[in-house]
Amino acid sequence: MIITREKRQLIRRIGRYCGWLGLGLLLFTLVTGYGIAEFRIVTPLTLGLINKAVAQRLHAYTEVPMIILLLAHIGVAVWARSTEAKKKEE
Amino acid sequence: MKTKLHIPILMVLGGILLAACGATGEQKMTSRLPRVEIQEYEGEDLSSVDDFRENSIKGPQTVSLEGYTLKVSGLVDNPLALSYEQVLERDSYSKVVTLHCVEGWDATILWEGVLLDDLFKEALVKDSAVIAIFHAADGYTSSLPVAYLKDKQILLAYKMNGEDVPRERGFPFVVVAEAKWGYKWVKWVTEIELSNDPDYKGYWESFGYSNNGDLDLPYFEP
Repeated sequence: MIITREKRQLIRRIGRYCGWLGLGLLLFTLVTGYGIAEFRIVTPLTLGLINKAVAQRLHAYTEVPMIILLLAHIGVAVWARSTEAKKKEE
Repeated sequence: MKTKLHIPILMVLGGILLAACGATGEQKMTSRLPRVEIQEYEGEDLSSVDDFRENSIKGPQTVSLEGYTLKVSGLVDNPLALSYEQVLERDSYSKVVTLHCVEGWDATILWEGVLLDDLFKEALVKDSAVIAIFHAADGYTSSLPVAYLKDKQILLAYKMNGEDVPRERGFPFVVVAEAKWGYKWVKWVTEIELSNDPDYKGYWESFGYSNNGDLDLPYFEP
């Protein structure tokens, strides 16, 4: 299968977006995790918006998307490296 | 002159002798020895009382036994107000139960205390009472069905692994709500209120945690 230059760039861009989204989600997971463990600090800091129950629900929702984003980010990076290596060999 | 000099000396010596006798014969010495925690019970490894995460709503409470009473109130014919010592005078029971916290950790402890059913019998709980609401010193509340407390022989514990329940773990009394999530294990219990409202929601339950609290069910209401 021939992948055009434009398609390759698009795939790389998607990989980059997945990386940034994953990073954002990772920070969100850290905040919600902290909201579960240290709810006495996080609840007043967020003016009651993130209490322990809310933090725990949100924390549970982040697991699957984060794994998908991480795998996508790694997958694109590995693919990009391998195609570059092939190009050099040619 | 000589005799006059001897009298005060003899009085001082006599005083010292009396004090020494008092110290050895009358006074009782009390020394605090290092705590001894049971680590294994009938072949089962136990967690330490220090293996818990402190996650109460207002931090560890200090309950002074001076003036403390455990109240059994609400739908009862004989309301109780028992001192700590009075509770300890009742028959005691012990069992190994594991606490599972919604945060993901657990602790297996040998609990010792009184049967809640014994207190209910004494308080003459009315037939219309379906749930017991546990009130804690920090304002925390949670409820459990009366039938569950009776059938499962649930303890109101005052000892963990053979030593008094530490302040951080809920001294003087903790509800050992076996087979229920940790938020049902009320610490620093001050009152047990019998009610006919099966939908009563305790502190965490009002934030969406399951009112049932069963370990084999999700801890959030669907």
